[in-house]
Amino acid sequence: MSKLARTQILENIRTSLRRDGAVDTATANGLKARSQSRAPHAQPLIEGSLVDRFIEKHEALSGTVERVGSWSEMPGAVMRFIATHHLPPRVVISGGFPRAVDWPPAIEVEQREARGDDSTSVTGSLAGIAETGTLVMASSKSTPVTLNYLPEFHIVVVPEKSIVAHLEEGLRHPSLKGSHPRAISLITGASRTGDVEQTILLGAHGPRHLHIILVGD
Amino acid sequence: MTEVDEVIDPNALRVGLFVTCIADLYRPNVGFAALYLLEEAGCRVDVPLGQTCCGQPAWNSGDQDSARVVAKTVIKSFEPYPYIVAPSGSCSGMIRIHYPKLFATDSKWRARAEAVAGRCYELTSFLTDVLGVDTVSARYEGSVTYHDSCSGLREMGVREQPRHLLKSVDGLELRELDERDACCGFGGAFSVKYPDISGRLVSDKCADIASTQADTVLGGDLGCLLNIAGRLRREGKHTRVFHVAEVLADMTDLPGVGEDDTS
Amino acid sequence: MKVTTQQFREEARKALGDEILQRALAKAKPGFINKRKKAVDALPEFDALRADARAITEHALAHLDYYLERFEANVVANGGVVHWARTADEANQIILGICEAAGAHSVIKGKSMIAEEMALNESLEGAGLEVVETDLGEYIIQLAEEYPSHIIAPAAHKTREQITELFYKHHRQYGKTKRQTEPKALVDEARSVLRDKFLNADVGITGANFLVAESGANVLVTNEGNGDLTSTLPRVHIVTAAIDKVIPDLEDLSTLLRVLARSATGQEMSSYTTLYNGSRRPGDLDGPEEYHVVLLDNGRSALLGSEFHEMLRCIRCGACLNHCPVYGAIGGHAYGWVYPGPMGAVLTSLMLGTDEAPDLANACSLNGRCNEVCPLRIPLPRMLRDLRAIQFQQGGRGVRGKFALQVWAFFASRPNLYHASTSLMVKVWRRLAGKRGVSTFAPFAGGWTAHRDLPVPEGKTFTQRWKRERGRTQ
Repeated sequence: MSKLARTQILENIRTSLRRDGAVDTATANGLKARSQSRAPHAQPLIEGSLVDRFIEKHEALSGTVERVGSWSEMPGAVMRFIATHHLPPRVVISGGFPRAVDWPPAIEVEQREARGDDSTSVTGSLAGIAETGTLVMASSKSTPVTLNYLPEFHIVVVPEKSIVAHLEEGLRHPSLKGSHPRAISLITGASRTGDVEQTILLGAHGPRHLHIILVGD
Repeated sequence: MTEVDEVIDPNALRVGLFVTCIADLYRPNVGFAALYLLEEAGCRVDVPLGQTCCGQPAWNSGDQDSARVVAKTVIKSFEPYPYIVAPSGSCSGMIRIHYPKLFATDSKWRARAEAVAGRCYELTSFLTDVLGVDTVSARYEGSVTYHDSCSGLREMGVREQPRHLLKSVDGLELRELDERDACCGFGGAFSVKYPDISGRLVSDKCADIASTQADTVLGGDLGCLLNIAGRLRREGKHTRVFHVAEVLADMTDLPGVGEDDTS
Repeated sequence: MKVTTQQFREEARKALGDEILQRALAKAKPGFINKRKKAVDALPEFDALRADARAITEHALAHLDYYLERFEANVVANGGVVHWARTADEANQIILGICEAAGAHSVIKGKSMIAEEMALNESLEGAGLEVVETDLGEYIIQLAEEYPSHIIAPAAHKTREQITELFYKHHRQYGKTKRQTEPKALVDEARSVLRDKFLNADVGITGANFLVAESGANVLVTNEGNGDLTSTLPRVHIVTAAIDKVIPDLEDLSTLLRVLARSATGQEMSSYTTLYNGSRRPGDLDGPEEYHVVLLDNGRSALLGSEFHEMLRCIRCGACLNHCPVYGAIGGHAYGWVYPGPMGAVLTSLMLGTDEAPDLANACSLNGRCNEVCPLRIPLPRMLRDLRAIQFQQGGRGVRGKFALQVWAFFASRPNLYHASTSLMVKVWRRLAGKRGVSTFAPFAGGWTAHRDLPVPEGKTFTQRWKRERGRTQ
């Protein structure tokens, strides 16, 4: 039935568009060329330091940031966050950080997908987008998406040099080329809702708090 | 939108005044005020008597045929004039924006409609944008607030122009509404077909007017003003209502819209 | 749920007198309007983006078949299945079939307008499935058994007190026995209750804000994260989308995202914008095992190339609702079906027919704010007028009005007759009114005097005075 429906719908579309059939070869070539062109449409002008802008946008949405010099300092930053928010010293992490990190014994670390009662996750990211303070993540064997959406507290490690200016650059990140992840996540701030009398509240279903550790090297 | 690059020598201007059916019927004073303002600015003004109505009521009700019949009358009457001016955002908008659409598929009338449309202006913006008028000599003692008609705002780009002219009226203090962009609820037949909703919109508008504590409300469209004045009277309010042309022409020595004749 | 488009006048009247609704509307409106304005004012490129957005969607529609086929090929390449449905019934059957084959008992849903259009929940529940909405606003109206009243904020018409009572009544079964009154406590309780549903559901159904032909991705734009959990946790993920959602590529997506968020909520980006593409990949630790996209036509292919073609470019941002004075006065339910406000007036009239929804195109003052704020510059007032023209030609209700217009046109096209009659009319009217400035009766326009007085004319027409005073006989 779906096949017949498919044929009929496509036929109806073509009739309405006053075309005898599918687009002709010349048009198809033109459409292909359009798709292959990566030229963006109008974009907001972005000036100044991308990192500063990224931080500014993120903080405007109640996000928090800590800047560290190197990857080896990352676990320490995580510990500080846990201490500040009085969280249990237990994190669930993604794999595939660009550098190996040594976690102190005080903190229990598990690399797996998230579960319903996980408090805190620590993940990497592909890039940060300065335009909007957005994080770009892709799903994979080592980066399950539930880490981004289930826990109450989400810590994301972002290398400063991975921060790009515009949405397009984030969506077309080089590491996405050729790979077809199930999910490309653009995350901007924490989970929020305005459904109760327009009061903006955090932690509707996704994380209540988004913390970024910005790594210098 | 009435945009011109340079101010034109008013001595050269012959204008056909489109009085509007509402002003013709209800308040000729508005027509005379418009006439006065245009002549003061140096125009030679004619009032072709073949005019009746721009056709909006039919157009907005979906009766495109009737709208066309009436529009043809207007086009025939006004095509001799280099400028067609109406003291109304909605009527000038009807002619300027909608006449070309009315005759889009009529090979005989399309060009004529487009020609007339391109030469049609709302009064206050014609004075400021085309004739370069900056000031008027008029006096109106009191505090005034201004209602922008939706068609004036969104079809004819009328916003600052009447305010610019009002600045030069002696004794007049302008106080802006909180929600300048809000519809007054007239909408032509809408006010009669959906009275409850229209009633809510006009009472909101009147509450906004009341909050300015202005003693007068002005506007550029009589339809809106009849609506507002009617509601003010129903609420027992004494805010005076005039068309902006009447104040600019210093022709306010008569009862305002909806006011009893106490002479 | 019942369609009440025929009862528009009555529903509007009730809405105007509903103090609770009016309070909720008064709270919601300025927020939406101010937030959008702030976001738009902060972006000098906004109008350029709008022009681009318009061009993108026009281009997509002009080649809709091509992009749908490309989209389908890419979904299949990523392990998904694409189903095509001509009608809502067909779509519901397809989805029931998927659920049945999967042995499903429980379904969780992300917000989907198209699923409302299909009345999907009723269909699923009718087959014995448990259906839980996960978007907080949709969850609230699900509990209240109502249609959404706003396309972005479905429960915008509900006050905190009403939400308190709904939760108190429906959450007892989950062991929540305290009456929560603070917004934060309400949200936390919903989070807790719904989390269980997320973790245990067999099927997740989401809508799609966009379908990207280039990659086969469906794009989900949310702030809560519920859509992402719905797309990830259950074993089966079904995406319901209208055929007009497909756009060519990621650059197009970027432009549309920029105007969507700002127009809807005044944000630059929603918290979660995710591109989902197929079922879990080999080695993935989470994600659905089955991924289905159900494409629904439901009359849209017929609108292509018609005078209502541009309605298909709507990205469901809700800006038109937020700025419409009629919507602001009566709220969404008076519109009687799924889609409220200006876009709803057009879409409902088209999908259900003007006979079924005779008032929607007419209950509009043609003020034009909707078109002014629409990020895709959809000419809503023009389409409402066109719908009125269709209604006029078809006759039906308002035959008396039709006759009246023809009489008026007869007079108005005969200036001498017109001027003679009108001068007589205003003379009599003025005489009857004496010195009063208003009358409280209006002979042919009773609706006018329901809420306001009718000013009385001066007594002479302009034409009369002009002829006399200026001595012109032109």
